[in-house]
Amino acid sequence: MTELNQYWIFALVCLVVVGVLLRLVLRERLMLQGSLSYMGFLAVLGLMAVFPSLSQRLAHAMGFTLLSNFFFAVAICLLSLLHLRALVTLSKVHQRTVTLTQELAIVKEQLERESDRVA
Amino acid sequence: MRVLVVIPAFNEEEALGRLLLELRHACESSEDELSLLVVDDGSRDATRRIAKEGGARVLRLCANLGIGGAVQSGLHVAYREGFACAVQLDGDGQHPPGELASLLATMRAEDAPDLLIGSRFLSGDTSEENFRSTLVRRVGIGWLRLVLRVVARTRVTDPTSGFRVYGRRALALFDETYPYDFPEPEAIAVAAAVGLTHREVPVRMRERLGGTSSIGPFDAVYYMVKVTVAVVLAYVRNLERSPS
Repeated sequence: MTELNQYWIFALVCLVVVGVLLRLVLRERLMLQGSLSYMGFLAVLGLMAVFPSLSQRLAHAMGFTLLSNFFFAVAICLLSLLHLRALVTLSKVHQRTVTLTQELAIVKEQLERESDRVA
Repeated sequence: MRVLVVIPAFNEEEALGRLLLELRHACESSEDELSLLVVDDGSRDATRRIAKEGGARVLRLCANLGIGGAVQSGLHVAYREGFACAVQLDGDGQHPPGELASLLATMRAEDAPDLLIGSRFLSGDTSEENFRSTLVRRVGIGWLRLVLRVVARTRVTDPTSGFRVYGRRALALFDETYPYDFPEPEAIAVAAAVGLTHREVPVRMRERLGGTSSIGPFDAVYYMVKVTVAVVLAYVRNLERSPS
């Protein structure tokens, strides 16, 4: 199998993962908003695999001797960005959870006091 | 003066009953109109029942939010229901209700601060009756004093004290924003950043009446790093915020 064919296999794997993501979105187990950036990441890796000569030129221009190192560097950078994005989302969700929990407790206490007063 | 006593409690069934009994005595002898509010931070024991039996209002959080989330819940209630001030007092019994009188006397004065902190180090009382925490914790407290002095340019002898009183302006501020975990030193930095006034008065503290501390020995390093970074960020973030 030539090197080019091996890259195509990698592109195929990216495509399969995109398919899995879309399936999860369709089943409403994953929000499209959250998965778009992940699909973008896979698209970048897939394109690098489909056009290895372009990747090669880009890698050399950026000072990488080995194409595999370039792949790793790109993947690590993109995954770091995805992780950062996930942390931001998680923090927002945490803040909302705290606010909701507090508000729920306050409303429940008010309701209990009202019902005690009526009783 | 209408005062809400906010008691954050997480699995405090051992200590809470005795504490509420002492608090009720303090209420009877107080010049102020005190209401007790236990914030049950998702306890799995009988904390809620004991709080109800002890005559306190109970705010039951359906999930454990940690001390910051629990305290802020109580401060929300105090602010929205128009209390003149709110006292924060730990549910483990470390803060003797007998000290409330001196704290509230300071808040009744003309020049009352926005935030009043009960300090176990101000009195100079080194007897065993005044529990001043373990040596390791005291070293940590010294470090936090230094951090607040350098970053927020504020002098506090007991930055980790959870025995404090919030005036109306502090309630308005902390209704909007309050740190989540290990919140005490960070809250001082936030208050200093927006220009709220604060003061300390000497109080005695004692060992917890029951239960175990939520901060284990292995959390100490994380605590110090986290709080140091949080104090710096909280101060910078809140510099532009209006005190009202």
